[in-house]
Amino acid sequence: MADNNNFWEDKDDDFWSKPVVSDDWLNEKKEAPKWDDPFADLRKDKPEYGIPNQPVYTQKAAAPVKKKNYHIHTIICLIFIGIAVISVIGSVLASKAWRSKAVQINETLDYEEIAVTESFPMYTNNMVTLEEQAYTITEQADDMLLLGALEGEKLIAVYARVESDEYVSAQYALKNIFIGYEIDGQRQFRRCLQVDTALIAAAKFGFIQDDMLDTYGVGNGSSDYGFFLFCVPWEVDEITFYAEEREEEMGVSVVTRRYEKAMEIWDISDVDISELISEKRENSR
Amino acid sequence: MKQAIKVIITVAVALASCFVVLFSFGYFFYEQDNTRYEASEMAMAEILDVQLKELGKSYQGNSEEGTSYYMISVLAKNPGNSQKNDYELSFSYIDDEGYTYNKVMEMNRSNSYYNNGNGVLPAGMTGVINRVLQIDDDCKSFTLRYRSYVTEEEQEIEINL
Repeated sequence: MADNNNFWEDKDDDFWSKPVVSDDWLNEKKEAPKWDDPFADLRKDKPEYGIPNQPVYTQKAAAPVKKKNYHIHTIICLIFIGIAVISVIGSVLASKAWRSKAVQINETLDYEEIAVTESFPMYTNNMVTLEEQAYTITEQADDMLLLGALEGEKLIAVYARVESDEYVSAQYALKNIFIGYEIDGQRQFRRCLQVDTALIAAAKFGFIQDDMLDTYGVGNGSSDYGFFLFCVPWEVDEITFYAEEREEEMGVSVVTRRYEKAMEIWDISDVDISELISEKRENSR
Repeated sequence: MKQAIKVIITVAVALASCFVVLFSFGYFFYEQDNTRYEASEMAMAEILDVQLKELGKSYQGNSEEGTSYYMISVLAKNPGNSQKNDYELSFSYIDDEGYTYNKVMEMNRSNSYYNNGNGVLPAGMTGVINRVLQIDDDCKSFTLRYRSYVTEEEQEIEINL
């Protein structure tokens, strides 16, 4: 059999019928030549180049390249979202826990009741002295109206002295005080008047601001004296003075000790109030 | 381009998350502060008894046609550690026609009194809180309602005149 590729020796050679390259060469797995085909995407599965009636090469769409930073962004986002979700859940749960604990603290009453005679210590740094009696200042309806009191009430004063030479944070004496009295077999309690609003009415009886005390607290590093003013019904002739020691627990003010002292109310005729105020003022100097 | 969008989205998510975290902390501190004020209200006073005393047609110089003044005395117990001031015990009065603030009105006292020598329910103690009411003469009965604005618990007591 004549060698088909022997161009020079084969007389019957038909140049034009010969393939350009051999089948062997065509069958070889060779990398397809690359060219810029603007329509490559339109005919991915069709022959893109080659020779008619010959095996053809096809160009497949290139697989997408996965870049590393794709995962990094996702991970960062997930971490941030996770932190946000945890903090929301955490704050809601912590708030609920705090609230239920605070309610529990508020509802747990555990204080010591101490009946005092004349002088008694409050907290660690105050010595409080109370008298055996309270004084009636006025029973006049006009005076009481000025204080905004109800009809049928009178104004009384309780004298207190506090000695203290050491300041301790939040340990003011007589900051939480009130009085109790009984009418028709039932107990009633009253807060004291605040100096800033009671002073106008009280000045009529000789009080100056320095003579008056209220719930801002006294003592705690300085010695002080003064009168607490209260409105009580006319018929009351005996009161109990209460002073509480309190502590903050989870934001709730908790009573730890309650001091109480019974006092009789001296009638307006028993003492000249302006003289009494002057006397107390002199004694305090 | 895609990379830039990814970076922008990541930064946006990070900022939003930071905002949520800060908001969560803020919420916790807000709730903590709220609890301080609401703990007292959550331990609601318990009304044990109510008494009504007629004061007459005039009281402290006030008088209004067709009405009378009454003193309502509410015996209540404070179960908590916080002191309950008079003004913190909010009562509403529903008349025999089912209206509030119609036939039964609570008399306003001066602001100085509310901030001053008003009644108080000390921690763990039982006491009487007094209020002056102005009630229409044709009112046969009314209901005293005491409601906690925090827990929304309420107590109702019917009072006949």
